[in-house]
Amino acid sequence: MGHKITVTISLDSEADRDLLGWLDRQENRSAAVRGVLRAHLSGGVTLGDVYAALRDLERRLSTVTLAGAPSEATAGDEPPEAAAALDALARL
Amino acid sequence: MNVGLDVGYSATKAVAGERRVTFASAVGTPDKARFTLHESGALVLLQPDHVAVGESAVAQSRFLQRREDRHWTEGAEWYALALAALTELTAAPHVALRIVTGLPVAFYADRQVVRDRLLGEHRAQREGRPAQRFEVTDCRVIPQPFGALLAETLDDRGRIREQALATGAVGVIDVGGKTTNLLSVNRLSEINRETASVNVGAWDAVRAVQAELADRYPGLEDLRPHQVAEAVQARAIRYYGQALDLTRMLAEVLEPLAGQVVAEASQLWNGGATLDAILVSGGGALLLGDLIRRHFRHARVVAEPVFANALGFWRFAQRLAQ
Repeated sequence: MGHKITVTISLDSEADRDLLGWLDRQENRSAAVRGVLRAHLSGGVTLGDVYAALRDLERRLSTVTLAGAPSEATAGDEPPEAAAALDALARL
Repeated sequence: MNVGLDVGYSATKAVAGERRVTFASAVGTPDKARFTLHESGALVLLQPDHVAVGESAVAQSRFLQRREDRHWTEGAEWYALALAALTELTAAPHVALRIVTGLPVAFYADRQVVRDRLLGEHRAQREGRPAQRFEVTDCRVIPQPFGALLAETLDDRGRIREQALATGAVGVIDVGGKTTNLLSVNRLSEINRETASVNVGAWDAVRAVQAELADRYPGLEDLRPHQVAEAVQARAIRYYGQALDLTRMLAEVLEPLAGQVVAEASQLWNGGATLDAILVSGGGALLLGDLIRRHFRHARVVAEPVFANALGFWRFAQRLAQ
């Protein structure tokens, strides 16, 4: 087992009021911060990520002309009977 | 997040995208080593109950709970295993989930019990982590062996990628811990009269080996079933500092077990000649695969047989999300 390392971070009483409030509500601050950091490192999605993805989607859609019906290639990709069997499986 | 969840009598498996987890289906008292020289990584839940789960329970718990009855899905142990799997998949504090899971063919009538258990809000907390809230907004329970079939047939978006399996007649032999499920489909529709469960599984081999070891090797009487299961997978066990080869002992145990599965499948599938493919899956596939292939020459063990059901459940969840 490794040795304990204490890390100090600075927070502003006004600008970081939300973070301070969240920290105050934690029973074990160290465990809570570790959990949030791990979630972030393992690919946790932030609101910033969602906003960036939406802007990217908006940009892409601006160059696309939408047709009224799905293309035949998409509809014909799957054997109809097998697709219907999967639909039935979903309704079980 | 879409999740494929497979809580088996032997091991619990879960898949969400690239993330895959598996641990022994064992729940025990939260006893710990007094000291450890490395990061323990123990899976200990504080909520819903304070219990050790998985390998840490096998190694450390004074008392282990292990049920093998039909109604175990209604018990606290099954619930702890399901929530522990979710905490292994993500550490996020609040997650909305779509879960697809399975039940053995013979117990499929109990699907509403499982669905009711999983749907809605759940709280879990791992030792050393903040509490987590899981909100299951959609839960589907499908016959277990469909998992392996869907893993082989669908891609990661849930679209059909293997046309031959999707349009053909396929048999699945899913060798689980307690039961072996035999599924027959044509164009992915179940053929009811050719589908059944057999009450044998990999745990029968484990129990037989456990009895043999206790009988022949003094000092190995008190091994826990999951320890024997590990030895069965490795085909060897340590005995007074030496590796004891279990190959011959296993052959004696596995031949009649495979014989029973093959006899049942042959009877159901009229010899299997009209099937285009036979997929062998489940943790027991690694033990019985070769023996099954001796009888059904077109049988093949699926990729990642242990994870196959959970992977297929996840791919099906991906399809539902489209």
